[in-house]
Amino acid sequence: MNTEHNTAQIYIAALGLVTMILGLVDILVWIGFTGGIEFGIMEIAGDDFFRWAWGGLVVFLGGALMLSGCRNVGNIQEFSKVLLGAALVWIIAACDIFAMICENIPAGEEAPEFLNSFAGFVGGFAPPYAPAVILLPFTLVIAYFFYAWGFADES
Amino acid sequence: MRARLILASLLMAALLCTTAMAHMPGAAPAPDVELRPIQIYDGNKLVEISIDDLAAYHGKCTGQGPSKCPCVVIGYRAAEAGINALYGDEIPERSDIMIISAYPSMGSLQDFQYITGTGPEMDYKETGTFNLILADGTEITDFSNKNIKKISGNIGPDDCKFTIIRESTGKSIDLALNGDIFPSDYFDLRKKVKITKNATPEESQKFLDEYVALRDAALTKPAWELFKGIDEPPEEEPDVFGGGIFLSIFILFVAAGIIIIRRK
Repeated sequence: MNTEHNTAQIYIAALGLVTMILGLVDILVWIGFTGGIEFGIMEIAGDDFFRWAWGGLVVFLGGALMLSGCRNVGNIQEFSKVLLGAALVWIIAACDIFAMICENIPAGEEAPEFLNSFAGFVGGFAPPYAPAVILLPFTLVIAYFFYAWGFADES
Repeated sequence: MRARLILASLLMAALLCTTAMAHMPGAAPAPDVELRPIQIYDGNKLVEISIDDLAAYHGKCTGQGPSKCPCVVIGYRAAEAGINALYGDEIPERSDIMIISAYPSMGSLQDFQYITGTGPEMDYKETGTFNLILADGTEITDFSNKNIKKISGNIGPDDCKFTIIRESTGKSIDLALNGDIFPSDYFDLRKKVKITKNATPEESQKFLDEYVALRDAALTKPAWELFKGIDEPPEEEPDVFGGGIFLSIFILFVAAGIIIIRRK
């Protein structure tokens, strides 16, 4: 195994662990262990079952898959687990971003107009973000490995 | 004879049930509005007081069943707005809360007794302070239904004033119900229907409509529209910079992804 694979292994293990923890926290907040959490630019509201309990489970399993495949990332079978784990995070992040876009198109409930202003639309993308959205750029590195290591050509 | 007695008893029971269900027979049910409960510490115990708790307590004290009558709603909204203005995100100790009301009505009076823990038939560890001092400065200590009803016969919109005090700091807030919320003839009709009981059927119906409209307005209007003394919170400016950064990065990633996929 070369040095690049070793570094990637550590990176994926750390990312998998953080992803698992955040997925678990999503579920715990939804259950009611604590009220909504806001930490820096991250927010876990825990108010909706589908987003926080179900979405949290998907993120948790994504992290678990990354962890289970990180031992031998040079092997295509192991790497496919890592890629699948990242894809699970992408699904939840894409749902979150799509929800943000949809929420920002109409104006507020009390506003007389239907459509949001441009500033209101852009301002709606300001922090805080859900954990999956914050994890998204870090998981894109896995997509880079997929192409850089030639797995894309093999598949 | 026995059959007649049974029939009479059934009729009486049916009549009692009707009065038990609502203080104002014929009034439409209150709209289902989510109001944040008032949170206070009673000793070390966190207590959440919702509008439903107050309606239930009012019903228990009057023996007429739970009721979200306008006075209960107004009392709750005043206490909630006052505590929120004085404590912000902090949760107050029950013993730190003092409420002075100039509004002699059983609904708001029992709200404040419940919140301060000074009412009868309550399970509490600590008590705050509640005083009923009329607009002319007279302090009322007899909180019996008969006495309050007698005093409330001549009230008007200017009597709906409340002072909430944070005793530990001495800070206080004066709240006066916005007079616009009351139709001009509301208190005259109220007196005829509820006190002197000489209203015509038309007047009773008109009062019922106004009663429902007042209760619904008190439940649904924001605090700064209900009370003088509460400022409307400033509208938050959208964070265009923060949102712009996110959108730029997102568009950049999407564009890069499209280019890479096309090249492949």
